[in-house]
Amino acid sequence: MARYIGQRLIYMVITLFLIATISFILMKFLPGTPLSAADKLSPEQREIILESYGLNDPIPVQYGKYLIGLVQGDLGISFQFDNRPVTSILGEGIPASAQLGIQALLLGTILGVALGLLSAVYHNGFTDYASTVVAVLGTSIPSFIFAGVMQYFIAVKLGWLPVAFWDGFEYTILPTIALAIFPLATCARFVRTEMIEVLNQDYITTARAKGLTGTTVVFKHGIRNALIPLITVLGPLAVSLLTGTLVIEQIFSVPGIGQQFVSSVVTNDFPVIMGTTLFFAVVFIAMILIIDILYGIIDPRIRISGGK
Amino acid sequence: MENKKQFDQKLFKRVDRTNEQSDNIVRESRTLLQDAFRSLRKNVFVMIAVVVLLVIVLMSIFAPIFSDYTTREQDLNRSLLGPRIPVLENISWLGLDGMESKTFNGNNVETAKQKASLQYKNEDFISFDIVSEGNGTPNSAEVEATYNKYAASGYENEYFYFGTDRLGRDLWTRTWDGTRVSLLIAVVAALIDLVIGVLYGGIAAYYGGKVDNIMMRFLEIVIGIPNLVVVILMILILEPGLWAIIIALTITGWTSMARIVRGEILKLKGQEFVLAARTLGAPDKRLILRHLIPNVMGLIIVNTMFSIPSAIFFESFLSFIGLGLPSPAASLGTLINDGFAALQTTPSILVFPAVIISLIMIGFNILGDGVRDAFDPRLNKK
Repeated sequence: MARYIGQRLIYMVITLFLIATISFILMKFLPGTPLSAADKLSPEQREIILESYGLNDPIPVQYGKYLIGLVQGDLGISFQFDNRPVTSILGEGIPASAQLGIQALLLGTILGVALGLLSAVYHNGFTDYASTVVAVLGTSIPSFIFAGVMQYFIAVKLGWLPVAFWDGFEYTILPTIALAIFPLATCARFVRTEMIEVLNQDYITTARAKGLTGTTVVFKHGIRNALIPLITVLGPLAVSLLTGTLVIEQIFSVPGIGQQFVSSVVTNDFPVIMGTTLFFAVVFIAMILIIDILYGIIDPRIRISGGK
Repeated sequence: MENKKQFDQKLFKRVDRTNEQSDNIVRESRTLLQDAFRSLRKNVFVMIAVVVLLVIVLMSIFAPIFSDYTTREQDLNRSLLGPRIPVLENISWLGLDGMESKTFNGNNVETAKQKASLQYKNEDFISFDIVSEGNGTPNSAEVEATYNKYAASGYENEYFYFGTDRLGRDLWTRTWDGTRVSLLIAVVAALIDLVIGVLYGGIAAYYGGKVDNIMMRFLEIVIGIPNLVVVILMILILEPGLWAIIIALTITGWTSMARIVRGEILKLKGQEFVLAARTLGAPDKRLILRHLIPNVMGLIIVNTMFSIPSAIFFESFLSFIGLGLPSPAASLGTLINDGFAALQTTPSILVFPAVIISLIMIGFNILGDGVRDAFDPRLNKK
């Protein structure tokens, strides 16, 4: 196990290094400097500014400085937000995005698991068909369409909840639901299949034959075993949530990283784009790593067969 | 034993079956593909999905050709007209008559009507429906004003089936044209993924050993890079456009196909029929083309079926965050993005592309599920 984690950590570092290098090269390829638009500067002033930002150094030196900065957690300075460091801009966006993401993941998995269990227990009944329809729609229809529909009917037409912005819990409800639908549908689908399989196993029949009640069988024998594989889906789900936040934050004007990212794309604020991209990469990779390790710990069968 | 029936022996005729005859194959033997098609055709949901997808594909090809308008012809006189479709315009609740209705409140009916007149350019084309007369208290009276925008802007004889956008471009033409662009991006991206993935996975698995090891280490690193990040970086350096999106989508998209194909071919390679073919002296080319590829065909098709909707989603997602096709080109993503900009005032702009993208996604997902079940031998009951 330790060797496996070590191996994964090395891969993680290599991947991050590659992403950092690629983004550095791209930044150098992009036309113009931060001073392209500042015509009024005399050549001397220009020189001083370029010098002070280290933009006159040869490229390898700049690359070295950039990597050292990265290791120390310095992502450069934003073009559009008054020379503020990218890290502080990111720091401002993280709370809102994190809150939204965690709420959506909780809501989605809890409801999804419940729905999946219900449809497995009442296999081929009305609940099952209803939840299958929900699952197909939820996994197919893009989250921004749900967001638009809810925003129009619940917020604009009925006025029950605020249309957009970020000012207290009621502002988080609509974006959370919009984000939660995909994980909800995916969990429901996955748990249903797993649970049906588990409920057909011999040990469930044994438990029933021993005279245990239906609820005991479902809750004590069934659910525990059906939920273990769910951990494998959680990783990709969390990743899809990150993608979703980019769009959902835009629609509901949530001041999170996603919105900052989109606005920096529009204004060509490359340091912020690169910083956010790197941040996303770290979150993605760390999440997948944690989930893989968790899975190995929880399910001993994986450790024996797959893990070294 | 009493109710054992007595049959007349003459009713029966002896059939002479020789050994040769019993070896005859009466029915045509079916390949895996034919088998899969048979069970697919029995699946009602899949057939509905196929019909819906076919209709959308045909419309996306032919609707722009037969349309009276072009995708980029602008005319501010006809901006933001509502959807209006012949025949259907007579069914009022569908809202396809190109009329704009809104309720106005006032102290009495007159003030409410005045408010309505201020809202619309030409008051001759407003017709009123009085909802409540009011009793003089503020905003107690309510009138529903219906504004004939088509007549007011001099287009009473024209039909913009899906309405027009802010710049007066015909949304019917733009929506179907955009659908075609989105489908094209998705299909081309899925096909490129297929070719690269099958080749990469096939070569790695077939040659095995060191080749496999190196190729897989590289693949692991590529998979480790989140595709969102790569896609965004690629779009930033490439010129925005169709190919930028396709390249961005394929640069990470092929990995899942490569992994699946490698795993499957590794499994097949160890089986006896491959050994038999090799013993008979089949060259590599024949082994790969005739023995291995046909056996992984099902998996390849299923995987492609699922990669098309995810490519469509990613394309619209990119348009949404401002990295999509540059204007005036349209794709479902850019149309939905435009629709969101006008959501509060004219939601109809969002409705049509949103419905079409949803239908495409649902259709491909149902089709993908159906194809997966059809190719799964464990589910092959009959």
